[in-house]
Amino acid sequence: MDRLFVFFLAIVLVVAAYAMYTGISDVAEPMDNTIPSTTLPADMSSPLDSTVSPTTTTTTSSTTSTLPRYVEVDVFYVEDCKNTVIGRMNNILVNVSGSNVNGTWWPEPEPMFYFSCDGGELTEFDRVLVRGGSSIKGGSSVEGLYRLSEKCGLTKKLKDFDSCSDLHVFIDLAYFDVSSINSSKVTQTSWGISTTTTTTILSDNPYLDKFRGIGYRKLDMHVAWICPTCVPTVNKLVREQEGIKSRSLSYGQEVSYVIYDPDVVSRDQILRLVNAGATVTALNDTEI
Amino acid sequence: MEFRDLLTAIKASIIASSCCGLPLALAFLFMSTGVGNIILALQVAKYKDYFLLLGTMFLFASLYLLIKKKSGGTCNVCDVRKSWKIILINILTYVILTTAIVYGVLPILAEELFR
Repeated sequence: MDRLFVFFLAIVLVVAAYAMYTGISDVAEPMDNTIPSTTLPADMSSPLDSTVSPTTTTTTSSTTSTLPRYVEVDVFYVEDCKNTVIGRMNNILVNVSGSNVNGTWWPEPEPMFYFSCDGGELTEFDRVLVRGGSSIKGGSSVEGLYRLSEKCGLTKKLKDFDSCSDLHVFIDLAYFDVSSINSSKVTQTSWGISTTTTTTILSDNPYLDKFRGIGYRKLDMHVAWICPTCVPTVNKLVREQEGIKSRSLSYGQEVSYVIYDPDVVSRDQILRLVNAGATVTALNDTEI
Repeated sequence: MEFRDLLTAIKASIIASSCCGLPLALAFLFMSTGVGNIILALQVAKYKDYFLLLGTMFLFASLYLLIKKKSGGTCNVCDVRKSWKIILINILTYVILTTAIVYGVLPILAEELFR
């Protein structure tokens, strides 16, 4: 039986060698031939308007047209400093209401909530969980109840929340896919809290704001991964490619994207990199 | 039933999970030595179905030889019925182990290696 195992291992190595041998031509070939032209918008090859701005629809009288970065959420329960399994913690329960913020967490959520105590600067919470204590599930709705925790007591990181006379909690819109915002309390990208009145419907992720208006392009793709192992490998390849500014490539994501500088890296180069570990279909390539 | 009876399933899982383990090993080798192309290493994963087929073929061929050995040189329906526990446990181990390696262990390992 050991001979049989060695024999099958030899076949495995032959198949691997053959795959790599045939892959040499695939790597060298331009990607244009492998992507159906019908999946590409007609305007992909033509220069686009360089003054594209975020899609913002203001439906009420508004004092600002800038997209908000932080939206205040309702605090409905504040605990005093308590002993917990992981040390002394302050817990706050907040409600992210669908009437204020609508959206879904990314497949690998990085929930970011901040607090401001008595007019102080925004500080990130140490732990973010949904109410009940479980982690936030990727792709789930942002709307809901959350338990936010901050170290307290002996660490003296800050005074206890229950002694804050003016406590505000904000959710960071840069860490999930926002579908709409409707809030009377928003603050802009600066740390100082400002209050404006605006109703905004967004179609873009505000995280991408920093890439807008400087000639970068956003390539949307449908990526069918060949194997789970390929995801981190391709991410490394894409991350290390010069000219790529941002990316969102993860397993089970319907539409992935890459933000790139067209002067440094071409669309075909990016598609070739992603195609190494997946079957990729370019959906859209527009200047942002 | 001894542990070595399960070696068949373990070996079959190693062959089947080569689809994802081999590209990872090659990619890491290419990355750390600076020789070769990571994109080429990933081409191996495109033959995933063939590796799974090879693993399954190895499992059944090994089980055939195992039963034949235990039954003194024959492998008929009666012998298969006598060894049904070994066959079932090996098939289950093969399926569970391969799934765990391909979808559990290797992605975590890849995440660590290419962080």
